[in-house]
Amino acid sequence: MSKTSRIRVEKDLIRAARELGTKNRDLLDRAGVRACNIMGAIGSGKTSLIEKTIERLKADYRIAVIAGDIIADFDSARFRKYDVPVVPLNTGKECHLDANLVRQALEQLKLDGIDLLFIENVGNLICPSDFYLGEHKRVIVVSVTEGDAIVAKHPAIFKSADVAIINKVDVAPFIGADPERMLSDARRNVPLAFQTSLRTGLGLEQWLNWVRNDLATAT
Amino acid sequence: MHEASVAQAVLDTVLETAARGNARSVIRLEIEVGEICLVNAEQLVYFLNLLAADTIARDMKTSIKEVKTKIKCHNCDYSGEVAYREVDPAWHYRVPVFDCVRCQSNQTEIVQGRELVIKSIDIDN
Repeated sequence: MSKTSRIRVEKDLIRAARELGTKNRDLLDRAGVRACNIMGAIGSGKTSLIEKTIERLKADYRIAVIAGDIIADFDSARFRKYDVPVVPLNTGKECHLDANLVRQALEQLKLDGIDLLFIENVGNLICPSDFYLGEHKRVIVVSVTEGDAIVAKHPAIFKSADVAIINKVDVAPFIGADPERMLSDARRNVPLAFQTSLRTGLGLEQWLNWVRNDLATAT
Repeated sequence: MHEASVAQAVLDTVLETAARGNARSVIRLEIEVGEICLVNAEQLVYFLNLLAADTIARDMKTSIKEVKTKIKCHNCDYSGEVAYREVDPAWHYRVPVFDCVRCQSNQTEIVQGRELVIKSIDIDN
């Protein structure tokens, strides 16, 4: 005779995924690596941000990159020319990096020889929001070319971030976008937000100082 | 799209739990999805049904409850729900505002609303 019964499960998948991220974080901490998850909209300047940072800071810090993208080789090639360790992560159909993929990438790096690790996430302001990769800091890059409502449309991911960068402000007048609005929207949910033009160098020093300070206060 | 991979993760847990309970079939699943967990409930149910088609969960009814966003304010100690900006009354689409409802500070922390919890399954055995 059949019987119906209820089994309580109480399993939070987001928390379970977070635990994998925490394991990555432990691995990074044991090796003395500071990791930044670089998220942002498609084409906003994530790769450029990392490139400029490597160019300016590689003399002072040992930098490595995990390049997550649909075809990771395009971005990987941009980083490799600086002669830093790069692990490409082809995400293919996936819309975000997860801790499991990142773990596989971490295992391909000599972590003892790295001070600062950038993890470039897939261009997407929805999916990466729920996924903790093991990073110490979360950075979001958006640009005026996405339209100045882009920050206001995505409160959940901005609330999860430590730094927001509003990029390409030099072309704002040609687009009719208001970078001040974007900055003010970002400041509602993110402790630090500032404007940049990675092409001209505007705001780059502020970003680099934040990176230097983060590394200094971490160790 | 990751509703499909989330659905697979949910189904794996359902089937594992059902197997431990010696289930012949799974008849009901209860899930709670946080308001700012960016997984679409309808799509999740759609993929669950699709993926469960050849399993003992093929006739499972899934019930999804939304868990409201809650914050804790580090400025004034407020702890509770948030206000919303209604962006499209036609669709009742509201966007949460994370500023403290009592003191308007943005020094707030989200303490509820990002989860995706498999609460329980009902099985026949």
